[in-house]
Amino acid sequence: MSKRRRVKPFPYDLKTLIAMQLKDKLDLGFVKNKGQLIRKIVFFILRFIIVGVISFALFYVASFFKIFHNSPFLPTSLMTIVLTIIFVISTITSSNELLKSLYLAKDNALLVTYPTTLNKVFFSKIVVYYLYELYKNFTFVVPIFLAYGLLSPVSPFFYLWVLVTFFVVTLIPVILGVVISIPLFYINVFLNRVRFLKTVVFITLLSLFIWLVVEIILLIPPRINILFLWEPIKAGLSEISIFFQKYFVFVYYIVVMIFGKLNTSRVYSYLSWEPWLIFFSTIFILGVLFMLAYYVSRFIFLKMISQGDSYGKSLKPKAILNVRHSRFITFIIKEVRLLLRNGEFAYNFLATYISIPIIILLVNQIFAGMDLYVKGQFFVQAFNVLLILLPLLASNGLIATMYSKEARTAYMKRTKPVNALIPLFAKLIPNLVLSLTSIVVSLIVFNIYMNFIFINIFLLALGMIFIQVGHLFLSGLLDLMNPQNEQYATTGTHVQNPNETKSIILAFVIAFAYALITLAFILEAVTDPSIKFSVGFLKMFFIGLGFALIVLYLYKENIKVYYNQRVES
Amino acid sequence: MSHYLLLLISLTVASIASVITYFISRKKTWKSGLKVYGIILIVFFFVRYFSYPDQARNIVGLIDGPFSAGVNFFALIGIWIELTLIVLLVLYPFFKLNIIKHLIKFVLTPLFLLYLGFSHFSVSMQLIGYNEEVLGWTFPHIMFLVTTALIMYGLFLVWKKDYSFKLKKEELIRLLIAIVPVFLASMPMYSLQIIFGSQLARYKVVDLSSTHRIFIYISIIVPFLIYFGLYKKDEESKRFAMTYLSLVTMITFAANFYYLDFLTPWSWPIHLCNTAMFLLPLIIIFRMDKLFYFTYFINVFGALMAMLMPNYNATTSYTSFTVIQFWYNHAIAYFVPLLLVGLKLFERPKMKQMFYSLLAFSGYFILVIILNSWFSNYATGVDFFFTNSDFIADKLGKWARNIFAINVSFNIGDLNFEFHPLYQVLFLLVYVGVAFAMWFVYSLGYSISDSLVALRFEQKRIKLSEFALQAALNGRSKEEPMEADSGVKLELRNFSKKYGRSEHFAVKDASLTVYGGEIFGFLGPNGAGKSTTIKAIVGIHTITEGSIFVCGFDVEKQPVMAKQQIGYVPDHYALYEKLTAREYINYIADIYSVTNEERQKRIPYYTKLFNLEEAFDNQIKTFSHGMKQKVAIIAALIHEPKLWLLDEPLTGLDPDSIYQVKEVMKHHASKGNIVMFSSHLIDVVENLCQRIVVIKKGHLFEPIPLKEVHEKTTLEQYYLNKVYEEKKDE
Repeated sequence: MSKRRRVKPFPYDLKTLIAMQLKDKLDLGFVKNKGQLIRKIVFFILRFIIVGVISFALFYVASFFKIFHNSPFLPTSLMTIVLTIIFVISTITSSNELLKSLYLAKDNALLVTYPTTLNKVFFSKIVVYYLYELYKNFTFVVPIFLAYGLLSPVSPFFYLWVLVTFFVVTLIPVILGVVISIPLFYINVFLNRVRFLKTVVFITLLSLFIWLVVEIILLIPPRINILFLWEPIKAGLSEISIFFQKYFVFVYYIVVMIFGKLNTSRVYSYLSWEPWLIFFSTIFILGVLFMLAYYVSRFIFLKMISQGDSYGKSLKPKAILNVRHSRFITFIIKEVRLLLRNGEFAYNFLATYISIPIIILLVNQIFAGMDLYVKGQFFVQAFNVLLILLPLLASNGLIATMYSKEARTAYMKRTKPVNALIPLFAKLIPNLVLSLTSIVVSLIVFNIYMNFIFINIFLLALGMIFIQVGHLFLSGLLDLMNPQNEQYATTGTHVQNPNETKSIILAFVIAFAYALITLAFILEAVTDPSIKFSVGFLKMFFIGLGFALIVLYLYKENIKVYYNQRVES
Repeated sequence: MSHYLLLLISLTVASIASVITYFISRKKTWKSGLKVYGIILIVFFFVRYFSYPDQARNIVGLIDGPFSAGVNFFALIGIWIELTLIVLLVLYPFFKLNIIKHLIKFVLTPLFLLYLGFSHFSVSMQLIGYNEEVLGWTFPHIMFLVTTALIMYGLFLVWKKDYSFKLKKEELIRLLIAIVPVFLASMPMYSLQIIFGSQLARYKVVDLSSTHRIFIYISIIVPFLIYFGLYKKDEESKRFAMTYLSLVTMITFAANFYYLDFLTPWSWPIHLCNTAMFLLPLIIIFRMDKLFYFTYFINVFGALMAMLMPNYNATTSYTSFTVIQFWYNHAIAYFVPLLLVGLKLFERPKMKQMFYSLLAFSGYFILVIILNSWFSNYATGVDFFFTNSDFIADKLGKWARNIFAINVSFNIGDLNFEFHPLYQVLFLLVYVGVAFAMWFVYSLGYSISDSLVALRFEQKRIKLSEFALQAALNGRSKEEPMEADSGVKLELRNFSKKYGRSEHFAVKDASLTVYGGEIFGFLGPNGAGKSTTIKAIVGIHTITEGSIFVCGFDVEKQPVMAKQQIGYVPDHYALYEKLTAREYINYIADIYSVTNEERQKRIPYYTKLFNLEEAFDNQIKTFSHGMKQKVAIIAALIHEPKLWLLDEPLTGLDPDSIYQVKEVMKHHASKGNIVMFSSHLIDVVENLCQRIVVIKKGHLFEPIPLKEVHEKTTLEQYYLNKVYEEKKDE
C-alpha cells in the first residue's frame, strides 16, 4: 500500500508566513552564494568587534577620567543613561516602522488572500519585525553591554546571561512600538484628513525643534576652557546621571536585570532576588501590554484591510479653481506640488537646507569660544565655506535623479508645445530657491561671528550661490545626458543611479576645491599687503560666476541638441 | 684682414654645400636637394651652437651688454631672427606648406638682411669673454660665418624657386597671424633678462604667489590657444607647428649646454623634464610612438608638479634666464604631449601603453638613482629627478625628511654609493600611482572633449536646419505653417525610424496622408510600428529619415507649432499621479494656453461625460486604470486639437466609457478635425473609421477606404490577409 501524502490544511501557517516575510525583509539571497555568505558573516563579526572596541574605548575614557563618578568602577547610572537613549531611539523607530508595516503596508492585501487566518498574518508581522530588530541590534546592543561588563566587576555568569537579556531588551521597544503605533495611527489619519492642521503641526514641530537646537547651541559658553570648567562640568554630568537614575527607574531596573545587583563587596551579583524578580516582572508586563495592544491594533489592522486604498483616498487636497497660469508658472506650481507631496524626497532636501545654517551656528559658536591664532581664524573661515558647500552640493545628488524619476511620464513632456528647456528648468526652481535661501541664511549666521564688511560677505555669498547654481544644473544635466527613465519605470525608486554617484563625487571635489581656494585667497590677502582683502572675494565671485555660466550654457545647449535624442522611449 | 679670410672660408664651405645640393637637385628633385641642404645647415648650426658656452645668458639688462643699449637690443633681435630662419629653412622642404615659404621670403629675408649688419654684434654677444683677437680666429666664430653663408644660400634657393612678390589677401592675413606665434616660440630664453634686467626680482615666481599663478595660468592658456589655432587645420600644418615648436624650444633651451658639458655626464640633461626637451622633437619628427607615450604619462605630470613647486631661488627675477628657461622647459614638457593627442597627431593611448610607459619609467628611475649615487663621487649636487636630495621631502615636511634620512651606503673600489631606499621606493610608488590617476584624468578629459566636439557639430546641424526653415518660409513668420495651404492634414513623407545604433528600421519609408474630418484607423500586429509612428508624429521619437507634417507644420523643424495642433492619448497613461485630476488637466490646459472661458466650458463637460465629477479633486494615484485613461483623454482634448491621436485608447475602459469615447471621436471629426487611432479591436475600427491603413514589420500598406474593403470582404479578413501574406513571404 503506497503511503498517502498528508496535505496540510493551512500551508501558510505562522512559521511559513514569518519565514516568507523575513526572507523578503532580510534579502536572504546571499545564503545560497558561498562567497556572499562568508562576506556577510565577516562583516557581521567585524561590525560586532568595531562597536565593541569603540564602546570599550568610550567607557574606558569615562572610567579613566572618572567623568561620571569618583569610584574606581563605572556607575550603574551611566548604563542607565545609555540604555535610556537606546530605548528612546528604538521606540520611536519601532513605532514608526510598525505603523507602516502593520497598517499601511501594501503586502497586507496580498497576505490575507493566503489560506491562513488574519490573526496569524497580524501576529507574523510583529514577530518578523521583532526578529529583524534582534538581527539589527545584536551587533550594536550586545557589544555595548559586553564593553561595559569588561570594565565593571561583573559575575562570569553575566557573559551568558547577557544573551538571554538581549532578547528582553530588544522586545521592550518593539512592544512599546506596537502600543504607541495605535494612537499614532489615529493621529496620522486625522492629520491626513485635515491637511491644513498637518502642515501647521509640521511647521510648529519643525520650528520648535529648530528653536530648541539653536537655544542649546547658544548655551555653549563664550569662553571654552575645559580645564578651567572641568569641575562644574563634572558636577553637571553627575547631576544628569542622578536624574536619569531617579526618573528612569524602569531603565535602572533593566540594568540591574542585565548586570545583577551590586553587593556589599561592590561586585555585581545575581545571588539576590532583585534581578530575577525584575526579569520575570518585565516579561509579565510586556506580555500584558502586548495582549492589550494586540487586541486593539488587530482591530485597526482588520479595518485597514477591509478599507483597502481608502486610507490613501482620504488624502484629498483642497479643490482648486480652473484658473489659467503662464506656462512657466504652471510648471513651477506643478513641481512644488509634486515635491511637497513626495514626503521623503522633500524632507531630505528640507533636512539638508535647514541643518546647514544650524551647523554653521554650532561650529562658529564653538570656535568663537576658543582662542585662535590669526591663521587659525582663516582656516575656520575656509572651513565654514566647506561646511556650507559640502552638504548642499552633496544634496544635489538627488537632483541627478529628478528627471529620470519621472520615468515614462517624462516622455509625455515631449508631446507638449513648449521649448523643452522651460519644464526642465522649472523642475529645478524649488530646490534652487530653497538652497539659495539656505546659503544666504548660513552666511548671515557666519557673518554674525566673522564681521566681514558688506562687500566681502556679499561677494562670498554670490560666489557660493553661483557654485550651487552651477552644480545643481550640472547634476540635472548629468541626468539628462544619461537618462535612467526606463530603469525607474520598471523597478520603481530602487535604481543604482550612476548620475547620482557622479554628482556626489563632483560635489566633494568642488566643495573642497572652493574651500581651498578661499583659504588661499584669504591667506594671500593677509600675507601680501599689496593685495586687498576684497580682491580674494572678488576672484572667488568670478570663479563661481564662470563655473555657473559654463554649466548653464552647457545645460541649455545640451537640452537643445540632445534632449530629443537621449530621452527617447 | 682676418674677417675677409673667414668670409672666404665660409663661402667655400657654403659653395661645397651648394654644389652638393645642386647635384642632388639635378639627379633627384629640387625638394630632395633642399632636404640635404637643410640637414647640412642644421649639422653646421649644432656644431657651432655646442662649440661655445653662450655668454648672452650672463647679460642682465641692455646696458650690461658689451655694446651700447641700442646695439645690444638689435644684436639680440639678430640672434632671434637667425634662429627662426634656420629652423624654418631646415623644415621647409619637409612640409608642403606655403606659409613657411612666405615667412622665409617676406618676413625673414628682409629681417635677415638687416641682421647681417648686426651679425658681428650678435656673435660677440654670445661669445663675450673672449678678446677681440680670439674672437676673430675661434672655431665658433668661423662656424658663425659658415652658417651665415649657408643661410644666404638657403634664401637664394627659396627665392630662385619662386621669385614672385605676389601674395593673395588670405595668404597675407595668414602670414600676419603666423608671425607672432612663430617668433614667440623661438624667442631666446635670455631675451627678457637682457631687455628688462633684474628689476622685477621683487615678484616671486614661487609658493603660488600671484606672479607664480600668472605663470601657471599662461602655461594652461597657451596650449588652449595653440589648440584652437590649429584644430581646424590639416595634419601637415599641425605637424609642422608642433615640429617647429619643439625644435626651436629645444634649441633655445640648449643655450645652457656646450660640448664640454658632454664630457661631464653629471651635467647631462637626464633630469626628466630636461630630457623631454630633447625627446619631443625626436618623437614628432620620427613619429616614435612608444617614446611618445612615455612623455605622455610620465613627463606631463612631472612638469605640472615642477611648475607648481619650482626649484629655483625664490629671489630670482621672473625675467631671468633661469626662470624663463624653467617655464619654457616645463610648459613644453607639460602641454606638447597633450596637444599631440588633442590635435590627433598621436592616437589616444590604451591601457597597455600606460603599462609600458610605467615599466620604462621604472627603468629610468633605477638608472637615475644609480647615476646619482655614482656621479656624486665626482661632483656635488648631482640630483637627477630629485631622487638624491631632500628637495621634495623638504616640501612635504618632517616626516618625509625622516624617511629620506634612512640611507644605505657601500663602497665598490674607491667609489662610494649612497641610497635612500625607503624614500626612493616610496617616490617610485607614488609616481606610478599618480600615473594611474593620470589615466583617469585623461579619460575624463577625452570624454569632455568628445562631448564638446559632438555638441558643436550638432549645434551646426541645428543652425543649418534653422536656415532651411527660414528659406522654406520665404520671409513668413516662424509661427506660420511651412506649407501655407495645407489645411487640416497629417502627412508622412517617406518617414523612417531606427532606434539608437540599431541597423534595423522600426518603420521604413512610410508615406501617408490623413485629411480633416476623417476618423482614421491604424492596424497592425504587435511590434509592427504603430506606436513608433504615432510617437514620431507627436514628437516623442526623433525622425531618422523623411518628414512629417501636421497641418502644414514640419514636426522636426517647427515642433512647438506642430505639437500645438496635436492631442495625444498614449498606450500607457503617463500622468503625474500625485496631482489631482483637476490640477493635472489645468496644468495641461496652461501648456496649451487654453483660455479661462474655454476651460470653464470644457472641463465640466468632459468630467460629466466621463463620470469623473466626484473623483476630479482626488489625487490621480487613487484612480482605477479606466479612470486614469479618461483623465488622459480629457488632457488630450482640452485644447480642441486639430489632430487627435490615440494609441490603443479603449483598453481598460468600461462599456459606458467606450461608448462615450467613440461618440467624442465622431463629434471631434465632425468638426473638421482628424481623429487617428491604433487599435487591435477590429470591430471598433470597422464601426468608426472611414479609412484604415495596415502596418507590418515597419512597412506601411496603401491606406484604403473601408467602403472598398467592404466591397470585397470584411475588415477582419482584409487585415488577416495582409498579415497572412507576410507570413507566407517569410
